[in-house]
Amino acid sequence: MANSFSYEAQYRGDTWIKMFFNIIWLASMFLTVEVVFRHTSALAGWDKGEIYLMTLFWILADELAMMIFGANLPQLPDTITDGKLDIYLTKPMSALFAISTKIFLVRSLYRFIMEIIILAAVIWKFDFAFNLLYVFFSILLGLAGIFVLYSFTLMLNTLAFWLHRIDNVNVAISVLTSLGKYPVEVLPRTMRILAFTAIPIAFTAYIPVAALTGRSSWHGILYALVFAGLFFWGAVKFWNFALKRYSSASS
Amino acid sequence: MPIIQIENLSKTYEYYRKPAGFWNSVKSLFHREKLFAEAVKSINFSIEEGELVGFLGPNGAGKTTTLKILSGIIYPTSGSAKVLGYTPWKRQARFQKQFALVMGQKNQLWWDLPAMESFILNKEIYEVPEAMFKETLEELTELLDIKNILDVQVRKLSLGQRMKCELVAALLHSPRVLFLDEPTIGLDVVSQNNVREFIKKYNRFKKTTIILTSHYMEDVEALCERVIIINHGLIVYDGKLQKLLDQYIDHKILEVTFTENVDAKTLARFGKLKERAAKRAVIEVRKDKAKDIAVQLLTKLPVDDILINEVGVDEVIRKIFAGTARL
Repeated sequence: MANSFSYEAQYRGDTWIKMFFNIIWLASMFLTVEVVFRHTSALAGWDKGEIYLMTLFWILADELAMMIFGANLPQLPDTITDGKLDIYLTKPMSALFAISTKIFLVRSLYRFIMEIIILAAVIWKFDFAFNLLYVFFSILLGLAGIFVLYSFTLMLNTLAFWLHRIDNVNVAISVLTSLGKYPVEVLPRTMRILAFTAIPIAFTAYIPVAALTGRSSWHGILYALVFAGLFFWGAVKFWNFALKRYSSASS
Repeated sequence: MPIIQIENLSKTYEYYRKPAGFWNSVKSLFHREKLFAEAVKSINFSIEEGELVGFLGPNGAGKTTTLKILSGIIYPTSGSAKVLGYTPWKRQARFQKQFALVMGQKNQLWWDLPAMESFILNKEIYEVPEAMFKETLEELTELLDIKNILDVQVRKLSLGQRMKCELVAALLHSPRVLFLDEPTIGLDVVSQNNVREFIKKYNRFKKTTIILTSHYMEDVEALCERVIIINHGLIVYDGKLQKLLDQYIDHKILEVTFTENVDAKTLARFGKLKERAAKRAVIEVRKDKAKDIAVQLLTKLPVDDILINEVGVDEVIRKIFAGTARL
C-alpha cells in the first residue's frame, strides 16, 4: 500500500484528472435515475429512493473492487503472456495475492469516502429508517458481493493460461457487472437465473439492498453467503490448476 | 550432500503451427497443428554448496527452462529436482526464502518508483529483520557503488545501474542459492566488469551457490571453475572449464609483424597460415611447439613483433555448439 501511495504521488496530475472525470461519471449515473423516474414512479416494484440506494451500493462495490484489485486483475492476461508472472512465483507469498493487490488505487479511497457521504445524503433525503440487523446483513452481503466480483474477474482472466490473448474479457466483465445496478426483476427470466449463478451480477448491489430494505428471506441470505464462499474457493482452485500450464515466455 | 540435484529432468512445451496467408489464418480458427518442443531432455547434474557453475548453451538450448524449473516457475514434464532439499515447483515459502533469481531481461523493481521502495517491499515479503536489512543494504550498495541512486526513479537509471539494483533486491534476504540468468546482457564493458567482480566477491565471501548463464565468455572465464554445457536440451559437457580447454585446445595463434614482406610459402613452413597481409601474418601452431616456432620465426625472419595468443573459451564453445568439436 505504501508503494501505491508513492506511485500515486509520482503521477499526481493524472490523479486529479481522473478525480474530475469520476465526478462527471457519478453525475451521469444519477441523471439516468432521474430520467427514468420522470416517466415512472417505480421500476419493477422499486421506488426512486431504493433505486438510488441500489445505484450507490453498486458504485461503492465497484469502487472497493477498483481500490483493491481493479487495477491489477485486468493486467493478468499480459502478465501471463509476457512471462511477468515469473517474479511473483519465486516470492515467499501467495502469487495470487501479490498480483491481485499489487497496486492499491489510492484515488479510489478518496472517491469511496465521497460516495459514502453521497449515500448518507440519499438516506437522509428519502427518509429511510433501517432495521439494524438488516444493516448488518446488508454490509456482510455487500462484502460477500466483492468476493463474488473478485472471483468472477479472476476466473475469466485466468483463461489467459489457455487462450493467451483475451483482450476483450475485461470489457465484457465491465459491461456485464454494470447490469448489477438495476433490480434483477427487470431482466429476462434466463438472465435472472444467470444473475444468481454463472454471471453473478445480483451479488454486488441487488442482494445487499434487498436485505437492507427487508425484501430478503433467511434462506436467500444464507444462499448468497454460501455461494460467495464456494465461488471464491472455486476461483482459487481454478487459478492453482491453471498455474500448472504456465510456460512463461522465452527470454 | 549436493545442494542442487536433478535427475532425468525433462520439459516439453506445446505450440501451434499456422502457415502464413489469409486462408490459412481462417482455417486456423477451426483447426491448428499442435506440435511439441523438447526444451530439456532427461538431464542430470548435481551441484555442491558454494559452487559457482556456468550453465552454457546457445539460444533455445534449455538453459533458462532449467533455471525456471529450479526456481519453481514452471513444472517439468517428467523427472525430479531438489534444491536445498525442496521440490521447487511446490513453491514452499521456506524454500523461496532461501534462493533468488535474477533475470537480465526481466526486472522485479517497480519501474515508476525509486529502487529503495522495492527494497523495502522485499524486506517485508522476505521478513528480513530491520537490523539485518540495514546491514545487508549497506554492504551491497557499498560493494556495487550505488548509494547515490537509491532514491532515483528506476526508469531514470541506466541499464547498468538497474542491474546493480536488481542484484541488491535479489540478495537482501541473503539467499543460499542464486540463479543468475544472463545478468550482464546488454551492459557496456565497464558495467559488465563491475557486475562480474561483484558476483565473484559475493560468492567468495558468502559461499552462496550460484548458477550463472551467460553468452559472454568473459563472464564464464572470470567466474566459473565448473561449466555445464547444454545443447538441444541435452547436457554435452559437465566438468572443469580448464579441463575442457586442455582437452579441446591443441593449438595457439602466433600474430607476427615483419619489417619487410615475407611470402606465404615461407610462412606456411612454420604452421597453418590463417591470415596474411603486407607485413603481418597470423599462424596457427601446435600448442606444445608454440615457443619453439616463435624462436625460429625470430631468428630466421625479419620479425618486428610477435604475440602468442591462447585460443579463447568462446571459440571452443562456439565449435561445440556448431557440432564441430567432439567431447
